[in-house]
Amino acid sequence: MPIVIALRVILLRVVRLLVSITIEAWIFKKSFNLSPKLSVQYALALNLLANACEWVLFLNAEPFFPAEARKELIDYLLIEKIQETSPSIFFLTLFNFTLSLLIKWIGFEGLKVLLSGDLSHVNKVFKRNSEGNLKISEEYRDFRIILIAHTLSYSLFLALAFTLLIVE
Amino acid sequence: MNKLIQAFNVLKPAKPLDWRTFILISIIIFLASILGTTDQEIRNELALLSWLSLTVAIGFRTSQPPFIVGGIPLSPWTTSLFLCFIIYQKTAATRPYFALKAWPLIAACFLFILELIRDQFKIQSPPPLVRFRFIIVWLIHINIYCWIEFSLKVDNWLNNIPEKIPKQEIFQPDSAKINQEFQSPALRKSSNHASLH
Repeated sequence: MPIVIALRVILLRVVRLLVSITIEAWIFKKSFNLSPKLSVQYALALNLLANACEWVLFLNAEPFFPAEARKELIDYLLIEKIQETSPSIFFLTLFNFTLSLLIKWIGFEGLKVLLSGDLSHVNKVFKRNSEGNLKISEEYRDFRIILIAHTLSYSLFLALAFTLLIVE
Repeated sequence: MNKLIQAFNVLKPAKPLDWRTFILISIIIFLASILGTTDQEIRNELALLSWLSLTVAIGFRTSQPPFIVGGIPLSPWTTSLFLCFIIYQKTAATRPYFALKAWPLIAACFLFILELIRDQFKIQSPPPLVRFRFIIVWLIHINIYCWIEFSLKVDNWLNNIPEKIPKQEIFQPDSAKINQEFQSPALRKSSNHASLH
């Protein structure tokens, strides 16, 4: 039985990956003027990175939780018994959302620097000087686009998961 | 007799760095480990050497045409699978799942080495770690590793917290669930070991 439960979760994750890659690639293509292939590659790499970080973090943090919180976390990871809605599920989702958003942003900036092969660019991305609001808003454009893409894909996944729960 | 010679001809290497060479080395070392010595330890070491040689042979064979799927040779995965058998044999007593978990990571390392070989060991621009294709394949392997780890954890949880097995048991009376609280980690580990042996 356990392998069936694990497979169900993994399958749901794969569906989530596919959905979010599609949406994010489409938004990246529209907003950054990338070629379709490059935008799919960016979305694929970012999503895989976020997913891997999420798993590593949750699975390693699990033994350190107190008993009650562990139960909630296991429920959350297995997508089991969510109908007993509790604040902890809400906070876990929020934490998950913020975490993967940050990972995607940092990953995107890192990928951009790595692929351009120009390491002097690092300072420009991560150390911002105060050159007025206009400049800053221009530089945060990446973050805003990633925020929009991530919010769309994540809410679609949440809708999907809730639909599955209700149908079940 | 002719058929025997033909059978040996299949194993005759065409060039020095061929998979047949390593198969022959493997067979010879294996025979030596059976016939040449009576010391159990030396025999084990020789068998290990024979297995390593077989690993190299399989690696060479699966990087050649019939085993190339869509332009990608299967050798990283087969080689790492054979290496994982060695790891499993060494760590089965203490950590039975370590070899399974290590498989995708070792395969990813082999992919990196393969990429270097394709570049003839020169760092070209862009270096392999920075190529998009390589990054994506590498991340997929890490994800597979995470999923294996997750399945093992689920197995562990369901063994130690039976109330997580859904649906059927929820409807049991409360008295059936009283003793299914979380055990302390130390207790859990000892019970794991007890169930393993």
